[in-house]
Amino acid sequence: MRSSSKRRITRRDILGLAITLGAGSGLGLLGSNIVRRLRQPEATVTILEAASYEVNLERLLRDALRLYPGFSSSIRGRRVVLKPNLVEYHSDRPVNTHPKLVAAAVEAFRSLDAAEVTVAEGPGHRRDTELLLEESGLGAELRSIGAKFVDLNLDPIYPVKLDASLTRLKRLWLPRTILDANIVVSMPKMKTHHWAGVTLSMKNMFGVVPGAKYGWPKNLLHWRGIENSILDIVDAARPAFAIVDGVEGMEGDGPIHGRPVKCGAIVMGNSLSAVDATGARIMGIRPGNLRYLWMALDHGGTIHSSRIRQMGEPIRRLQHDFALNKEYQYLRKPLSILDFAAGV
Amino acid sequence: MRGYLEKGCSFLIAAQNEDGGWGYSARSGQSAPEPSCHSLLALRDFSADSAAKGLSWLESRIGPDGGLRYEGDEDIHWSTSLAAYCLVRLRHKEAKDAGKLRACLACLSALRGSSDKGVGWAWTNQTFSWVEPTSYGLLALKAAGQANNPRVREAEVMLQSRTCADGGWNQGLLRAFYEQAEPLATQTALGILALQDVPAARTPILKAVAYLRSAAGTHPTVLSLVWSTLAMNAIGEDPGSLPAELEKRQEPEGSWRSSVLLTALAVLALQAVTGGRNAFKL
Repeated sequence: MRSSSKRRITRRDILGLAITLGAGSGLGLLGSNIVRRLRQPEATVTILEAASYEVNLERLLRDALRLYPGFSSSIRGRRVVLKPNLVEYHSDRPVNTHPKLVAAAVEAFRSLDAAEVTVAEGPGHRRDTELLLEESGLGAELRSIGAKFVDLNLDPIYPVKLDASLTRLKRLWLPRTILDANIVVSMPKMKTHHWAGVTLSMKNMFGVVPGAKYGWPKNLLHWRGIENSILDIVDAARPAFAIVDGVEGMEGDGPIHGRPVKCGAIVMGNSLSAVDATGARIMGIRPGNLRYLWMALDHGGTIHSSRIRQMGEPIRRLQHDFALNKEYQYLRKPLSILDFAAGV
Repeated sequence: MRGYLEKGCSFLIAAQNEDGGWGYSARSGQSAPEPSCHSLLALRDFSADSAAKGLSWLESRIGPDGGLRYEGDEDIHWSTSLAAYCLVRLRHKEAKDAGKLRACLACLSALRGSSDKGVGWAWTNQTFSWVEPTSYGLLALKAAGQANNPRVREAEVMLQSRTCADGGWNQGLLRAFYEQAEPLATQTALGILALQDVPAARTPILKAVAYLRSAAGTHPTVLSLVWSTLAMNAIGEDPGSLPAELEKRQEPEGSWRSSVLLTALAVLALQAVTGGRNAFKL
């Protein structure tokens, strides 16, 4: 005989339990996202307006660098490495950081008494760096100011232990030029990217990974996850500053086959995640929809506008919705309340 | 020996590291597999002493499992195939330590890259197959007399499935997202070299040669000149003015662009067209 004191569990009970658990975990997530928002370190990002590459870019950059007194005073006597985008060359597509902006940055860092300013890049899937340098005009521009270029694909390499190891690689091999630098500056082109969503200062650091070890392309890192790799590379290479070339950006099928878009913006700062969040906003993309930026929040990143001190031009003045391939329309979608709570 | 070859070889000898290997640049100090293999091939008939030191370094980097590694690295490096090719070309089969070559070839046979058609070699084992490591893998197995190795046929299928629409090869992509991918000189030349003994590949090879000729006309970089010259020479095609253009690019101190790798390859290309051996002719 069954005990009459035992109550049967009904569907209503299960539904009630599910609602309670759901609400509880929702509140928990909301709470943890609010904590995420609050713990984002404060960052300062500067937006400069440059209608073309013919303006006095050196002065523009030098004056803006002085807005970071701690950083600009640390340049004196140091070895600075500027890492632009140099990927491929197509005369009608702005794939690479403009040579005039790179040269202006060299001169700006020299004017702040850097002991040595080197331009260095390891093109991701082109072996022929001579071809890229000459076709893009970067080679001629650097020769004209006596600046040195290092092909990071062929530099001596050394292993660096990965702290978070999101890629599950124990170590990442990096070029000596990057490891010996006192200050590494990421100088990307502002453009869409068909895997990462955008190329900005953090994705640009892929180019420091040496082809001599990882090949052309650096395919192992794609297999380990683009976002995981971006964060591991930034963690290992420790870039201290970013200058994003959005004077003319690339929209649509970036990072190589997209179309040029006049944006007139240079975005710079000493927090790469904050610079990228600001760059994304200028491109009409919600930073929280970029997975690598969301992940960066767990690694000391800053992306919420309330944590970013904005200098120079306001975002809305230069904001331009970059055309996105249909697969990437979600980058513009509104954020959920949980995202909002996280401040992304 | 012609003056430019002698100067090029002398540059390589001077650039050799204490440990016997070569770095990508003369003053780098760190020996790396790729420039070491090409320098060894370039110097084998020029300096027995330098070649012996280089060979000793190369063997020291090959582990008991036959895999070649950077010093301090656990991962087998993609240039294991190039090392095997180098050992074969240096007639290492007849040397005392033929075991190194056997192990290296066995390791190469075990390394795989994934692919939708055929199976080639990857930059990092068990990732996607790419044209360059696959070409070196094919060259090594074929030069070692293992043309019947099942990996050879698989890799030939893979390479032929990756030819660009207008001829030639790039890294190994037919499309880059929405657009057709374009060929590149280095990979095109390596594809030709890897398939030079495959009669069925004659048509893609001739299309690839046509691409190399047009590319050399518009973008004559040192890297494209050396690989185009080596590939055309290996299949009996006249490289035309490419070797002369290459010769003109030599720096006064004997190098090409101060690069060990480019200098070794330039020496190999010029050796091939001046009556010497083509190190990449099967």
